[in-house]
Amino acid sequence: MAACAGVGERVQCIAGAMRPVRGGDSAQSTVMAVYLIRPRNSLAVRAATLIGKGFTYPEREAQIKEVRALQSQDPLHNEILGWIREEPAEVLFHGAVTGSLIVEMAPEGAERLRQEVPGALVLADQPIGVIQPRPATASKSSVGTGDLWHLRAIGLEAARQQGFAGTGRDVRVLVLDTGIDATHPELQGKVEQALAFDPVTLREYPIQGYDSSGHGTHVTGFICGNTVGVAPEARIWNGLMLPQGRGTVANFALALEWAARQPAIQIINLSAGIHGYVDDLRDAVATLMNVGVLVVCASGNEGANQTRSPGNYVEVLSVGATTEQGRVASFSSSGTLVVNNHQYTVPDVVAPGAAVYSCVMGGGYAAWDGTSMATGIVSGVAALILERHPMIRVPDLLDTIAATCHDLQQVATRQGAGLVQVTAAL
Amino acid sequence: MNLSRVQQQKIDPLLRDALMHARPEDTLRVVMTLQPDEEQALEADMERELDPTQFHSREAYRSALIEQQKRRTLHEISQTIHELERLLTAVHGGEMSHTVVAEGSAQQVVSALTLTGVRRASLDRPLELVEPRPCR
Repeated sequence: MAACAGVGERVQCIAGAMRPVRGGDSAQSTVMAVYLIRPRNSLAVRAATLIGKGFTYPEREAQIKEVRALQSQDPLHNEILGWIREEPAEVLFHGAVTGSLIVEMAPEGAERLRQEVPGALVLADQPIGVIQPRPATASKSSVGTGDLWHLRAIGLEAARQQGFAGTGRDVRVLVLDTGIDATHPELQGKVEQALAFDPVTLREYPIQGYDSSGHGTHVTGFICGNTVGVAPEARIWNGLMLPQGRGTVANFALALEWAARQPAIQIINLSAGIHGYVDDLRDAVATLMNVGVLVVCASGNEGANQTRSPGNYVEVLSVGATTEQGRVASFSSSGTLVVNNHQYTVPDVVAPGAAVYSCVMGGGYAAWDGTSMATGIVSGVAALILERHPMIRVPDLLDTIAATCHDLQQVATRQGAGLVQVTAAL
Repeated sequence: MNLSRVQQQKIDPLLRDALMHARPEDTLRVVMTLQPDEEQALEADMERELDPTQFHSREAYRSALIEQQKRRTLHEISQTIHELERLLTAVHGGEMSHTVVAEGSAQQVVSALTLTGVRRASLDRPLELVEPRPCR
């Protein structure tokens, strides 16, 4: 007999604790499976008319108490519980309010329960996958000014109306990403170099400009797209480092080493990372700063108190995302880190990154959510500043970008220095 | 494979796990951060900082920075790189930064971990794109 204790929490059935279970004299191991078991006709439905419907705290407390009492008196629920107690089964969870039980038992036992207690609903546990990100809304063949809120938010639209003519002319940005569709009308003639970093051979080789998944094209649109971009005359180097969105740390380290050797590159745009703080790439990233390259990196799309490396290195310009309403987007990653006795927060700055329109592979536009999008916008702003101040040192460039941000009146751990503005490029 | 305490302190949990279960001849790819030679690093720190305004273009400034960095890195870690090349099948990088990618058998990797110039080593691992989210 399985003796269970506790209600509404993980409980242990003593007799059913052994796994695998040996059945009868055969001494054969029985495979155990997990089942969700509850009365077929839910008590909540049956008791709906008996229980109050208010939403105040005392009313909700009273409702919960009422349902728990009804549940404990429910003959069907008690019949199921009694049946399970007689079985070599382990009750993993007993929902006192819902009346649901999560039970580990042999499939034969589950089948007998179905037959002997017809009122019991016995469902085999199923794997549940995450809902994969859906990067695009319905795409458009063209965008209007109403779609370009990101350019307004960073002050570029107003600056252009007042005669600002900065375009990031001849500033070179390496986009280490999934590739770039250089044939998109927004990007034609702007991709100066295209190469791939082979994760197997660890060698770089020239490629025809293409994108393996569309991410790099969307990001690049923000940097230099004709209408959606911040710095339309910036020159792009397409570094295919994440074919189909996957790469390796070794490949990344060597791509950074390669980039550090290229005198033409002034900015590197990165949208990749490993969850948590992993310092494998830190030295390579720090080297880029030493040789005059600004590394702009997405903080991640996991929300508060979660960051990624290299987006959480102190040596990069870490970027979070904002909404059109001027708030830090809920998905925008942020956190406080302590590395070598030095405490700092990420992101450093935020930029538009929720429902922002840019290029999609093969032509057209779509709005995506992500700190990668915000990163492209910040790279574009940095290109405008470098055009205006070509001899600026990287630490001074970082300070300048942070000093000219617009304070969103949110905590520094979420917004960093605030919303990036083009002010420093004017 | 058996690892000394010093070797264990230099490696990440993934590499530790891989080395514990690997046969000596199994090939591994690891990312290593090398420890610069202290004396050389001190000398490099005292090197004059380049002034960008002394160059005719940003590209020229960057070229000078690159050459300076190459010299610095060569001084700081070349000895360890030579030792790694002697011990391992392949060593990539290490020209500009203290990060190298090394390939070799598990036995070779364990030997490389005894070098004082190897500060840290991690098993190569997948790197993910920061995936865009559903746009609401």
